Amino acid sequence: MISKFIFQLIILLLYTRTCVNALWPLPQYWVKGSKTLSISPDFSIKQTSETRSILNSHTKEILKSAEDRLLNLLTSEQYVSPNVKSIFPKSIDKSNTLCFLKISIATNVSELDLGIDESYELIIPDSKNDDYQLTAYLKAQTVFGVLHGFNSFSQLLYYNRSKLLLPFAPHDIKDFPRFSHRGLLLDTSRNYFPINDILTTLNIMSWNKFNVFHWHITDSPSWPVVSEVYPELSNKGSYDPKYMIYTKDDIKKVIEYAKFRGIRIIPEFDMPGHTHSIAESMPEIMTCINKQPNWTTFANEPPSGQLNPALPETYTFLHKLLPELTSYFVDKYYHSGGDEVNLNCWNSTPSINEYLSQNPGFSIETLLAKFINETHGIVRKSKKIPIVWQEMVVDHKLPLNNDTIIQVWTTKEITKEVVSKGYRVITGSSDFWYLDCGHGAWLGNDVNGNSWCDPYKTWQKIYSYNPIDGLTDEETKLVLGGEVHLWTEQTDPTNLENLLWPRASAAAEVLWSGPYDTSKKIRTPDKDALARLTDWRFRMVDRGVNAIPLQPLWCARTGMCDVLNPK
Amino acid sequence: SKTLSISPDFSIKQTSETRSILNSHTKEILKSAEDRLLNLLTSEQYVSPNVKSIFPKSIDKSNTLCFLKISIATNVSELDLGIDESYELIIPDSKNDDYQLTAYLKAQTVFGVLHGFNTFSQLLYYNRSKLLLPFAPHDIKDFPRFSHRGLLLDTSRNYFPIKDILTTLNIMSWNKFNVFHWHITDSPSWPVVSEVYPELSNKGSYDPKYMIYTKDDIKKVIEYAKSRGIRIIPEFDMPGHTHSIAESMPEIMTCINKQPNWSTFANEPPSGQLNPALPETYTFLHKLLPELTSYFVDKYYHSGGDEVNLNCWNSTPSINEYLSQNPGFSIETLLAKFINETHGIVRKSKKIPIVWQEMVVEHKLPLNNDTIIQVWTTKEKTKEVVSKGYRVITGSSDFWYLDCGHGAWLGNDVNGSSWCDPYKTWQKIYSYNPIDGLTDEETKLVLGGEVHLWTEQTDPTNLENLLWPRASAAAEVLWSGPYDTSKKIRTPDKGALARLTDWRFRMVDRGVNAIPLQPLWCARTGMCDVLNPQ
Repeated sequence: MISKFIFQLIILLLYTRTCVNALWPLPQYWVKGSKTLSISPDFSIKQTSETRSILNSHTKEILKSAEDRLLNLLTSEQYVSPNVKSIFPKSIDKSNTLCFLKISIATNVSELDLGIDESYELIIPDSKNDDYQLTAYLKAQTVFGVLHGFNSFSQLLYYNRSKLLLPFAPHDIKDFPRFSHRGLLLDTSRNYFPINDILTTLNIMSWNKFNVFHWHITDSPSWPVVSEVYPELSNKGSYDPKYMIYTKDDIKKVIEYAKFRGIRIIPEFDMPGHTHSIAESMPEIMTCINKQPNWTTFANEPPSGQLNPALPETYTFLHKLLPELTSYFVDKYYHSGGDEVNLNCWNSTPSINEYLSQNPGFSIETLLAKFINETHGIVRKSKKIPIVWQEMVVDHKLPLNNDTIIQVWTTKEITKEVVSKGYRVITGSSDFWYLDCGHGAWLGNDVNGNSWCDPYKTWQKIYSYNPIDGLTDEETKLVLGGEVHLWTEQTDPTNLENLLWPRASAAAEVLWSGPYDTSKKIRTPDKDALARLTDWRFRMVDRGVNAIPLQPLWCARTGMCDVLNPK
Repeated sequence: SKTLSISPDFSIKQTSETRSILNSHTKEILKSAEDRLLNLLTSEQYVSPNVKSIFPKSIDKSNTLCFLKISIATNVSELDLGIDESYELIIPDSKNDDYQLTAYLKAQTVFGVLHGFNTFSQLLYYNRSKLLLPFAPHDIKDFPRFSHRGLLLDTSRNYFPIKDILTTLNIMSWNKFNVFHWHITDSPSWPVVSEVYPELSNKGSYDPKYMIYTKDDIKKVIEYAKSRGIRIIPEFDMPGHTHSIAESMPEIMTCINKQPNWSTFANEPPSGQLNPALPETYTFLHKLLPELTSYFVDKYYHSGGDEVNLNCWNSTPSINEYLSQNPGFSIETLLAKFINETHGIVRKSKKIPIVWQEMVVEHKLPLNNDTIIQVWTTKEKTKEVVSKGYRVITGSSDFWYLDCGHGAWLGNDVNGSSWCDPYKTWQKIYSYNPIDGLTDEETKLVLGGEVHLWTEQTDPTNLENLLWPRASAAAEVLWSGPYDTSKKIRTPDKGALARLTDWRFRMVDRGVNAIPLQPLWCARTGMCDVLNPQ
């Protein structure tokens, strides 16, 4: 009873504070005060001696680079918020100057994986209780928890009168993610993104506590990945065999950069559909290649083209290619695609019909099953667990191994159907978390065409998505998290950041903080969320991100632009 | 079908007649345009995704273009509605004597030459370390279908530094826009520094030091625009959309920032209108407007007049008092009085007013016949306004509002959409016909149109993404006209898409964050058309 009372008191305190500073995503537990600290010019980060003794050199390297990034930010960032209006005191007593951040890490986990401990505790006192200099404490089970703690710490800082201040001290933050899979999908096939853009995206993702980059690396328009076994794939199938490719070294660089920011790279080589780009070099194992002008009969988008599952050559190709591709990546999971397989394409392929007539037990569906079975066999031989799009179990009812993760991109009913079969699920409904929608038809000659997933997903819409809506407690356990998606029919480096930020941040909070607040109520894009997201957006802009404005600056400052009667 | 190369010593010359006709100011405009073109020739190395002319491996010396010769017939040095912007560009594919290969650009005015330069620059492609000019010979005779080809930018809802405005003007000129409609003030902020009322921007701008436009800033914008053939038409929207004035002079304002029920008093927060019943309001206008009009050189001045909220005035005690003391008056006659006074001041400053359609469509004000009416809704309104004899600027929100489609920007609104949904694709923008349904006589009153960027959800971070290349689609309707040479309405067909794609990639090459219209595969192959267009 008493703890419940204290709990409610904390909630009350949180709600009565008008000056919200913007931790985004919101920590699970956060109590703050009203003192403003300043950051000492000699501020430094220390590790406890136990921590130093526990960590191996690789973990230390990860920690060191994160410390350097934070210290760099402290000297370079001079962020002034439009809406955090704490009345900063004119002068700050020496006793309120924060001199140290002391790190302690309990275990030497140095590899990322689904479900590792990412929790952290950040304690920032408002006064020292002895002769020592004022010290904040960041404790975590793993170095990856510390990375999140650093990002939270950096969001507490505001620049004022040539000083870096830390208002609302003391802070007591106990934080952990609600979901262990917090992903962002980027399609690098429809349009190409240089490695630099991917690295920048990973960096911004880490600030938002995302931990999975789902690299939808190939698709029908282009095949940018350089294979040493089949160099012709990118030589002929990439947009430019010299400048618009990803080499093994590029991928290694991306993986390392991401790991240093607590982000796993999960590659997707979508098959057997969405593979027209393979036809540029090996038309012999492909079917319905670039049918024109009636491409709609054979694919959801031009150019059409699918791997031919009836030819032994196709399987030879897969057995040679996939072990190489899986070896480029370190994560335990591998996304084998499987969305939007066009059965009409296969039905109208002579060699497939011939195969079916010669193999009476077979149908188009069993051919698909055979294809997936072979593919997953190779993936598992490479010690990876496959992830597939929902169609494989929902439309085609394939009896996939129970440890396969199913990615649901449609409705909550489908999520329920998939978890009820016992599969683990990654969510991210196109009604909420597709960042590309709403920009109209990209097909030529289509005056009134809309995008299929209209309307545009506002941050409010994204924020109101509940990955576990309608599920029982048991079913909920199978939901690993979700992903926001950026399909790139209408995106390339010129508008990447505009489409991602700060809208992806709204999803990041749902995934980290969870769809329910501490009083078990569903989160809504209310005044508080808007104020924090506004502050966070402006801070990202200050850090060089082209994050779009959500409102006129007048609204950002006053918070007086709410709709009167929310729909 | 011949490909020329541009000589490394390529230069621009003027005919001697031209040199003798132009005065120093016109020469200055020409010189700066020549410098920009020559700079582009040395810096631009544009490779198109879809212009697949088979460039020859080597180009004969006789096919090397050495000169562009300019001739200008008149010394027009001031921009104005309806000046001659035509040009002729002749690029031969072989020389007919011993002289070096020379192209000719002829125009009536220097502003025609500017358009010719931009056209010339679009003919160039980079290949094997050489700048080539394919498809020669070229014989181009060109002139704009409409004389008012505008782009509206709202700099009140969010602020744009001068350098973003200059960049926008530069890109506009490549697209042959000739009017920048500067919606400079509105309810959220008043960035313009007045010397008569410094408190307007001191209190009403977003930042009195960094987020303002000084008289000098404005002068710089006007000069920069002029040297690119673009007029600056300022809009100080009144009497509605003026909350920002209340930050410094609440005494002449009414229904200031009503909360939370702002929707009763304005279309958007913050609410606030000038009070037309107080003599102090007119004193303010008589002191302020002559100063503001003097900041600008164009003959036209946009006095606003959209979305006046009558409920706001109806619920204002001082207005009701005025009405009871002045039996002949109503809210509508008060509005008429306000506009009359405002336009009187504007005309005294030797400017002709432009107003939003509401003034004549809803309020039926008997405005002077030379007033230009800006129609932002349907073609029926365009017809209604021209049938009253007014000249019109078009730009329907169903087609030419570049901000639409990004959902509710109001807080706490999960399923809210933008009022002007959906997003306007380039195809939609391209399919707008400013003179749809008009008779030939009515058509003559349509001066052109404007694409609009209202900035509730735009600031410098996404300005270029929202403008380009979609505004380019409007630019073609305004310059080339809504009908093709065989009098058929233009459609966003294969030809248009291929050209716009090439132009988009060239703009990106010039540093513009113009958004991609399709996957690169489609841009290259042109094979991504819808099978059955709606």
